[in-house]
Parts: sequence; C-alpha cells; structure tokens
Amino acid sequence: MSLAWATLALIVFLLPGVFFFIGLATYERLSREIIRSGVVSEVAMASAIAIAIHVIAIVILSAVGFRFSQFVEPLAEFSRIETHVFVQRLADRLMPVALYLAATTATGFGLGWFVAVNIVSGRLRRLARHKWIYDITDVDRKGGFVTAFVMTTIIDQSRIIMYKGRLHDIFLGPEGNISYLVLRNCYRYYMTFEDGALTTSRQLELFGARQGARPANVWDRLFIEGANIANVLFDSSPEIKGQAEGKNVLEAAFEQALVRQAQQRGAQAAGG
Amino acid sequence: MLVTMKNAELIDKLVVIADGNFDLVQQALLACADGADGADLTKVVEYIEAHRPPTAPAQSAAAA
Repeated sequence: MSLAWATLALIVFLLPGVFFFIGLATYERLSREIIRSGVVSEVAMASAIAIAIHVIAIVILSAVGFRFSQFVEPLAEFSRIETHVFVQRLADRLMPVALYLAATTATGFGLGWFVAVNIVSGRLRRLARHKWIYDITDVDRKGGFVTAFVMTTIIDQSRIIMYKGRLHDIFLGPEGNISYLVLRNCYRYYMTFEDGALTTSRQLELFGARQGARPANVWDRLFIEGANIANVLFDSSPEIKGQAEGKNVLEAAFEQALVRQAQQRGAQAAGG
Repeated sequence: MLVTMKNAELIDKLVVIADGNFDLVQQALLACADGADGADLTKVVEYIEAHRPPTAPAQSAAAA
C-alpha cells in the first residue's frame, strides 16, 4: 500500500515537469524533438523542472507567511491521534494542495509553451537540434511561404531533372535528413553542365497549358522521396502582413476569379 | 517528424486569383514587400489583379 502511495506522490510531484513537455509540444509539434533524447533523460529533465518549480513556489509562499513545517507536521502525528481527527486534518488540506498543484502544473505548462515560442521565433533556437527547419516553420507562421528548388538524382546524359514548387510537407528523419518532400504549384526543368557552366532550362508547369485553367477545387501534390533528392534550395517569401484588414479584398478577388474561370471553362467547352 | 505548412489556404487563394500562375504570386510578394515589414495583403491582391495576363497563363509547353 505504501508503495502505491509513494508512486502516486511521485506522479503528482512530477506533474509540473510533465506539463512542461505538454506545453512545449502544444505550440509547435516539432518542439517534442528538441530536448528529448531518451526516456531516461526526459524523466530526468521533467524531475529537474518539477523540483525547480516546487522550490520557487514554496519560496514565494514562504515569503507571504506560509510555513511548510506547520502545514505538514499535523499529518505526521497520525500514529498518536484518532483516525477521525487525522481524516479531518487531511480533508482540511485537500483544497490548498489541489490549488497548489493546479498552479504549479499551469506554471509548468506555461513555461513549456514560452520556451517553444522562443525556440520557433529564434531567441532560444540554440536549444534545437536541427535549427534550419525552424526558419521554414517561422516563415509559415508569419503568413509567407517557402519555394523549394529540388535537384534530383535523376540524370540523363548531362541533364539533371529539377523541380520547383511551393513547399507543402516535409518529413525529417531522426538525423535531420529529408525523408520526403511534398510540393504544390510545381514546375519541372533541368540543369546542364556545359562548357564549364551550369545552366538551367525554362521552367514548365507540370500540367502544361492546362495548369492555370484547372478549377480551384482540384489540387495537386508532387511527392519526392528523399532518396531521389540530391539537394534542395529553400527560398522564403516575404511575410504577408495586414491579413485581417485585407481579408475582404482577398475574398472579393477570390470570388471574382472563380466566376471568371468558370466562364472561361464554359466558353472553352462551347468552342469545342 | 512531419512539418506541414499551415498557411496553405491563403496562398491557394492568391494562386487562384492569379489564374494558377504561382510565379505571379511570388513576383507580387517581392514587389509589394516593404523592407523588413513584409508585403501588405491588399497590395499583393491589387498587384496580382493588375499584372494578371488577360487570358489564362497557357504559355507553358506540353503537359508533363
């Protein structure tokens, strides 16, 4: 029985540290990969954070008159007092303990969230293992997009097949290598090595002349496996600001574009 | 670990406004970018509408 109580006490004690990692993962999924390097180190980190939060909390409470010894001491007399007295003392302390745990757990969660925000925005980027991926997520969060220029390993004579497209998905392996890329709005072209110079051909839309006339409710994705990628150039766009103010302008132009494109398709169908 | 771009819906709409011309969207953002402050969405939409070819951008070669 005492073993079960000790386990419960340990779990309750570690709650602020556990919620630190939950807060870390809530803001940015990638953050789960930042500090964790193994179960043992994660438990150690959770313990260290929980201890730090408990120490700070007790120091703050002590500064406003709380005395830990006076709070716990009456419970230590359980062998010398009646059971109903002990139960009453325990019940009297349940609400303060619950409030304390709620406050420290919320602090752990908030601290984790704060660390994740600062890792993504750059101030604590040094904690991350693969820092470059946060530049990509940061551009996305600020309303921009990233264009990927992919050099494949597919070579025909002196021509290397290349793709350009808007980055949609990227899957990183444990070592930070790219497992696969998913691109949208793709173009294909090739690079040649002639007379000591690298030159690229004209970029052609994957759907050819039909790409611009495709209805807005259809989509395309180009999946490129990591094994077929020689290298990738990521090119970020400027941040798009004023999204709230420009929402009506965007929606109006979008609706007009849908109507115009439907009319064009209708005219093309009528023209045979 | 999978990283998915969350801002796709906005860019999708800009591409539709540009009649599928992704290059025009890129060009609009670069042209409307004001130093480190980024590009204003209203100006980007206006730029795309002003520079969109009158017909569909069917200038590429045959389909892949």
